[in-house]
Amino acid sequence: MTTGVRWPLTIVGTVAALAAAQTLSPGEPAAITFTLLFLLFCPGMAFVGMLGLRDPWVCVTAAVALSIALDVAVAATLVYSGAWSPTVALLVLAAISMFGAGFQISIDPRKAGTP
Amino acid sequence: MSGAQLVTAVQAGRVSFPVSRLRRHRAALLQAALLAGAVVLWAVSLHGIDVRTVGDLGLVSVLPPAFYVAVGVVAGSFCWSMRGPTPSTPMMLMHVVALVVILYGATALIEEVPRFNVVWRHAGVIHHLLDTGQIDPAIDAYFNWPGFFAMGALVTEVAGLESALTLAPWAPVAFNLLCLAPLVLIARAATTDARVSWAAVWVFYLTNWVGQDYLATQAVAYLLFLSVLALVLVTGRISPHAAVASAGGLAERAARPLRRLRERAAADAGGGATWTRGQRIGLTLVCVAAIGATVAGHQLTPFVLIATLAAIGLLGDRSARGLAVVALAMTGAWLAYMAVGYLEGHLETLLDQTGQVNSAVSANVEDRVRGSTEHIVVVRVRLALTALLWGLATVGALRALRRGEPVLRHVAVGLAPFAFLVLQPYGGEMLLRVYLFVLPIAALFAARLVVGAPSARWSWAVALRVGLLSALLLSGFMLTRYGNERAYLFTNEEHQVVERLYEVAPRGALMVASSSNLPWQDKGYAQFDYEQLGRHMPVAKGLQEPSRLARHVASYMRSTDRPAAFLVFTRSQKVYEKLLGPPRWGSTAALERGIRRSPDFRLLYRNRDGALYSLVEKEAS
Repeated sequence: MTTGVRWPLTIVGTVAALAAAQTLSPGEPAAITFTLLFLLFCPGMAFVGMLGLRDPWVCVTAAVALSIALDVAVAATLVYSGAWSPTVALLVLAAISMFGAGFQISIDPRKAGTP
Repeated sequence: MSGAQLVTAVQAGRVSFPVSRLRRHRAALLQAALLAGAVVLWAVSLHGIDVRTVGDLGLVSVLPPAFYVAVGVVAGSFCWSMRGPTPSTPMMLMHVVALVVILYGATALIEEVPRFNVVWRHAGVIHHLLDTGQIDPAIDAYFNWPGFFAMGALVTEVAGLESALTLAPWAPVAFNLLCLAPLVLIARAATTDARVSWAAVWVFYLTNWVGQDYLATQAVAYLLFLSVLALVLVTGRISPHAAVASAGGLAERAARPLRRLRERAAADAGGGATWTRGQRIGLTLVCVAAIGATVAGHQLTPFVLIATLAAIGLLGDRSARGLAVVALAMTGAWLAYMAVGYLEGHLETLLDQTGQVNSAVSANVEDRVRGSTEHIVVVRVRLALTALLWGLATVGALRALRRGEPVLRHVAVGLAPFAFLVLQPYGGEMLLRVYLFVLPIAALFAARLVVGAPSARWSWAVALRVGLLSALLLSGFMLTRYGNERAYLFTNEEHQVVERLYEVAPRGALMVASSSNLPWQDKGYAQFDYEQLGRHMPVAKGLQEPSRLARHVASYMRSTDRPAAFLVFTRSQKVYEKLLGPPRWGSTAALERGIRRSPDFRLLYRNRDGALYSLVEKEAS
């Protein structure tokens, strides 16, 4: 697997696994694991992956921080606007993740030197 | 390559022959098996511990020898790996993960229901959001900074959980593991020696006893704080001439030391890394997003972030200075628009406390050194280990600075949080929070001191020194982190008393407990009026008669306009008083004796760990 498609495929795979776990075993350890994996990693990685970073520690740090920020932004916006719906929040975050994953596949990964 | 060079290269691990590679793989497999065995031994050793048998020293009083053997194996194996100049990253990672699971997951295997009363309260806020989908800033401070609770509600619902409490037992392990990547980056920004970096991470986990990693907003805010700090430090670009020059006269002379610091910091920053413009912009935007989430989710962390970013900015880092301004603007906007309701009611109190050094010291230190003899031992060990860590860190920082290592920005980051000690007592918790925010830097410099200057040589002395420090810190860790567990661990029976309360209480009911140390508030957060007696009872002069206490409580409960009123007693409330000292109004045990004989109360439910009473007069109405 090339570096360019590794993260997009990871994102797509996590979204698929989350959907399966939610359908088959909601509330079970698998559903909790994939929920956390998705919410803590995918929305951020969808964008961080576009930066062409080669250091995995920087990638993970930035992806987790951005994911939490996006989760908070989407969830808080829905609550403050009186339109709270976990399904809508999940769909928005999944759409963000899939858009980023698709965009990463469509562009050439940058070859900039990183530490 | 000459013979001598080849020998040096092999010793440094830069060149390897098939035989030595095979030997290394075999050693790695052996270490991995040892770690797996240690984790299994740890899990088995904690099986069957009864939370009621935990003593005033906390978990230490019930942990079997096998637990310490498991910890010792992991620590010993880690120190063994530290003898080489370039320890393998996967191997170090395995050790750190095993350590985190063992140290921070211990209570997950012991507790009957989630430990620590605040976890239940936080779950209550999340459940309120899930039930109503609304934010009412008038409820309390949590609803003025609801960002992370909204995220908690999202996680709970998406995972299909019935309660956010399901996430609580393993939350400390998860939060600590999530902090690993930023911790590695923070250490790596100060040193190229992998041993120092991994030792810094190791020392961090051996000294993170403040317990702010439960299901709490501080845990998420801290992760974001570390992430922003890590990204700023690794991408740092210092301009030594920015904004100091051309001041002229006295200002020019005053600015000279700052310029010298900036010149030094400029040499530090970057570490040879090259970043494209796009990467810098992208990572800066990530920091802005993380700061935004922190501002929406926690009261204190944004201010500490502003201070630390400003401290780095003062050294000439334009990116940090810009982020400090962004954080300040976001925090100001949030306070002005989103938390204005809370501020209107509390601003005067907050401003009155600002700069009150005596009361801050009293609330943070003196008030904590009380309680049972064993608890005072725990508090003193905490103070001693804090002094030890800060002392080692100070010496380590001075040595690194003297050797010209790139640590000036880290020193600034480590000093900035101390300003908050005199600014706010933060409910008597500021010293703990300062310790937490300083910890990554303190751990780094302590590790730097113990490992020594960067070197490409194999060294048993390094392994030995890390081993000695690990043994010292580990011997204190279980006491410092889990010293309050006798009060923090709840039983199933206590939970049943509270569940019974939820079953019988009508909407709007008054629920009273002698202290907040019980597993409640997870349901009906805004629907019921949860009260602690400490806020409503007069200060006692001498020993209080049980019947007199009962009359006071009945009088208070009668005075409210609530449709029903209940009084809850649990084991952990009494334990809390024994451990940390009785409240000023009397004692829970005396009150319960009085309530039992009082005609004003009726017993609704009792089991071996608690009892539930209702106020008879409110029943009739």
